[in-house]
Amino acid sequence: MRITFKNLTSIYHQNTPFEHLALNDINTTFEEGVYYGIIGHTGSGKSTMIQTLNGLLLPSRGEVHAGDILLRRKSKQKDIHRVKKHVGMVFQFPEHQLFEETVLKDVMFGPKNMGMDETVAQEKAEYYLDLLNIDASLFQSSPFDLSGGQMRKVAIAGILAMEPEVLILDEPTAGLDPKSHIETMALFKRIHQEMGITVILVTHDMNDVYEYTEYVKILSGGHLVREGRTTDLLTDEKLLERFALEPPDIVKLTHDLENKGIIFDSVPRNVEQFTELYEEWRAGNA
Amino acid sequence: MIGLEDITYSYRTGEYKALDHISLTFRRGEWVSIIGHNGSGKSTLVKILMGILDDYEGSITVDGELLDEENRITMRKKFAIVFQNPDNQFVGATVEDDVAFGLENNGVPRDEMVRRTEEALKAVNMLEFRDHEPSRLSGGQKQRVAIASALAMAPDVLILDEATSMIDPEGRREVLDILRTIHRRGKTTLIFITHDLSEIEDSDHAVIMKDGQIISEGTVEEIYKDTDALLASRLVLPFHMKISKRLLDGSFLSYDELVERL
Repeated sequence: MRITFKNLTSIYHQNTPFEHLALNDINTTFEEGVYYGIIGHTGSGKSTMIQTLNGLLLPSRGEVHAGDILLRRKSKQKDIHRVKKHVGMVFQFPEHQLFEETVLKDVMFGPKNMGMDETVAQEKAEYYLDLLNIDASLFQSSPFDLSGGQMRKVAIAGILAMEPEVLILDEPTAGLDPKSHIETMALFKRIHQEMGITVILVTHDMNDVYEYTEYVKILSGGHLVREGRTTDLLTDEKLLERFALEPPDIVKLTHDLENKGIIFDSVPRNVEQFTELYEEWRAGNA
Repeated sequence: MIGLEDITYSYRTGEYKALDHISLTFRRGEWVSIIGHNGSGKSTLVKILMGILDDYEGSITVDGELLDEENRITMRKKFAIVFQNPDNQFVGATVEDDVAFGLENNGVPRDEMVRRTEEALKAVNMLEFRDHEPSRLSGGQKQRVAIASALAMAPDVLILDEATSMIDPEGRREVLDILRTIHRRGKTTLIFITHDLSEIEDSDHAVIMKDGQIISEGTVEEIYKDTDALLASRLVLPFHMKISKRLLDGSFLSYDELVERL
């Protein structure tokens, strides 16, 4: 599903003394099957953008085209619901939203709520729990008896079981231990590759944005100030500095080495690639 | 100085030990980092230090005095804490009110209250925000106000219970900068709880906890080199140490030294 924003403006508390322009005349497109990052300083409009993407917020002005569905200021509940069906959202701390008696019931809740019958919902639930390596022996356990990491996986399975075409991730690793952080990001990478769905990652973690996303959109003060390939924008330290964004660790190190005359043939995306490129360079310059 | 001697604690008698024979020393002015994830026992340790849990086995001495029923309330005043969630710890309508709240509660005279509030806000670089509403601050600013509220009480020990885990990278840097300043002044003992190894580099001593036990302790360098303990606690080395490990045999160095050596 392709999502396009047309002259989209979002205003909070309109016509009150607290009126605040959160997004200002945004024109942009999220293409099908691409892994996007949305970055920007706190208060830049990131949260407003993702809430607008799945119909949680309607535009104050302008339009959202999600596939063949049009959302605007006074859109009907029916259209909003149709968008929500296709755009899944993993909120911060998704495990806080678990509520059912068993793991299986919790994951089945979303699909059933969307109108799937019991048998189909159960099939989907089992499939996605398995995909996330939740052992079948845990299906009848209370989700609240699981470890934090497992709870988060169950919550994510619940969203995947609705089989969204677009998956929005809002700071999906917040509060996770470092190993779980890596595992969770690897999992979303796999989901993106195996299911071919669009993934939209919103995070402050520039290392994750750099390693996992294909394209980024940079927001600042409610404006979309830049969009393009991740490898182009996140290696541009001057650009990042202008919008008070940190360069990814790998980019910073690669640049600091360039200043010493160590120049690689390509730009590494992660620690493994960096190590390889450095070893190649060392072999060639020994 | 605070000494924990062979502390054991179970939430229910005979069950799983949340703390299992823990002995630890915190010297005045020292920065001690406690690393470990949920369930490792670090929150229980904090509750015991704060006097919230008192039915533990073992003994605690504060400045040479054994902690008991009689002195518990006085001793508690030596400790202050900053929690994880920046939104759950405000009571005042303005930043200044919030910092003054604890002092007012303790019956500190007005003149002194104003002075201490100002000093505390200055210490965290938030004096210019004194009239602001806490809820409208950034995450890093909120945590700095929370630190100011704690500092205003003039504690001997400041506990930071995952105080950086819910704020953005800039806020995290702000908070760590403030802690470095406090540390440099040398008056306040810092007990810093985290699971981010890149945040412990300024500590004098670090401890890794797992299943209620201390599985590793020492200098930051010693902790970084304890691969088994790191693995067991699902911790990962900071970026520059990861590179050092892959390309420079794991030498303990700073980022700048890494660039130099490569």
